[in-house]
Amino acid sequence: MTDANEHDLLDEQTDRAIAARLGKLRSTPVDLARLRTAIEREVPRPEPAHGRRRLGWLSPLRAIAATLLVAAIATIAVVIATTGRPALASADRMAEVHMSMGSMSRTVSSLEEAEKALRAEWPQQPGLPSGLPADDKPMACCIHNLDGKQMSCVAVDLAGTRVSIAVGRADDFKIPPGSRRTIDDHEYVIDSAQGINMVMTKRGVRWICVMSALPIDELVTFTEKVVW
Amino acid sequence: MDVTDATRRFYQVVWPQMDVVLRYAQMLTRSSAEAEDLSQETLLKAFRAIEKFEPGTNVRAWLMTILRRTHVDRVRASAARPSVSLDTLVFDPATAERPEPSDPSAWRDADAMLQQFSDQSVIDALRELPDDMRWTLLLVDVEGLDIAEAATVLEVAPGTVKSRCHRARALLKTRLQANAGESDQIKRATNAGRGGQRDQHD
Repeated sequence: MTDANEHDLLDEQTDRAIAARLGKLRSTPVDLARLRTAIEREVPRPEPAHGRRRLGWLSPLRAIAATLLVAAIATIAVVIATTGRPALASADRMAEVHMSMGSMSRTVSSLEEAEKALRAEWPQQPGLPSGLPADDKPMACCIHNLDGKQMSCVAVDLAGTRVSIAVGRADDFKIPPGSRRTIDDHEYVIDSAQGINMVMTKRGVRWICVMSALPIDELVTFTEKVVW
Repeated sequence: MDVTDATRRFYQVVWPQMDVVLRYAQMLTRSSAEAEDLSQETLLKAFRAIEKFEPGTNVRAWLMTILRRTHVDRVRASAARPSVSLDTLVFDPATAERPEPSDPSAWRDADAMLQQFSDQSVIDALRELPDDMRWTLLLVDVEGLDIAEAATVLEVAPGTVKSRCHRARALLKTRLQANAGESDQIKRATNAGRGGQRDQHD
């Protein structure tokens, strides 16, 4: 190899190494406390939509009729959902779920609190993890609906980066084709969309999807350490 | 879109990306207060412009565009560049025990060499780059946008992004080497000072 070729090769290797080193800065922890407070002061969170306010213009009779109609539609939707085919948990749709976790969730401080809150809303939910890797604290939870199939979601603060864990019934969700990785006899499907990486798997009765902007290897490591 | 819808959409789309905005603001500024100010201004601009965001497109690239324009405006508005506070010159004990990163031959194993720099020293070197180069590396290498997306944010041709990437990485390497060299000099000077003090005590 000539000196010029060797120089070019070294240049290329250095280029790649610098790009990889800079990529690790993506997970640098940040303290959002002050910024969150400042933004919430400037842009107050909207109140949840109250049915009474929305129906205020209707006469009582119309309101009753509208309520019955909504209830009938909801019942039909539930029946269709519970008897229908599994929902495809595509990377794009799951990225949307992850991104909406901030606004649609209730704040919690422990897995037990999240489990209790979610079970009150969805009694048949398959159950959240029983343990998380050390120092990762739950911060929010909510129920999401994908094509009529429900999933329990809990967001965890992992060194300043949000990780969302979605859990649904294994029969309710179809894992999309993606790159597969087997660790300790468990098969994980890896995918990403809109800058969000995700790891999906099925364990017993549970379908699980772990999502974050963290690099995929860190996310797989996190997923492996979650206790079920 | 009324204010309530805009607010809901803001909390749904932009709020989850707040950490990304603050992280990049910290890489652009020299103090956490300045980074928070820049992030706040960016996020409020995003709120006011939320109806222009097209669902399904890359929300981070959109926010990066707003962050970049806000930062450019701030730099233009400021008559002088911010001075470096002595408080930011923190001694990093981990650096003192490392091999000499200023030695050019050590870069033969670039991966191993780069692992020896703390995140903070990489960020410090990034801050020393000219704005166009720093932004190119932030978008392409740190955020992982593809060349076309980065070109849209930077409002330049994709070819420009590619060539800037290469030049910016080379310049970053030079800055890392130079900073490591300065750190070596400080270390030697400190050791010499300690030696002198010891001699005096002897």
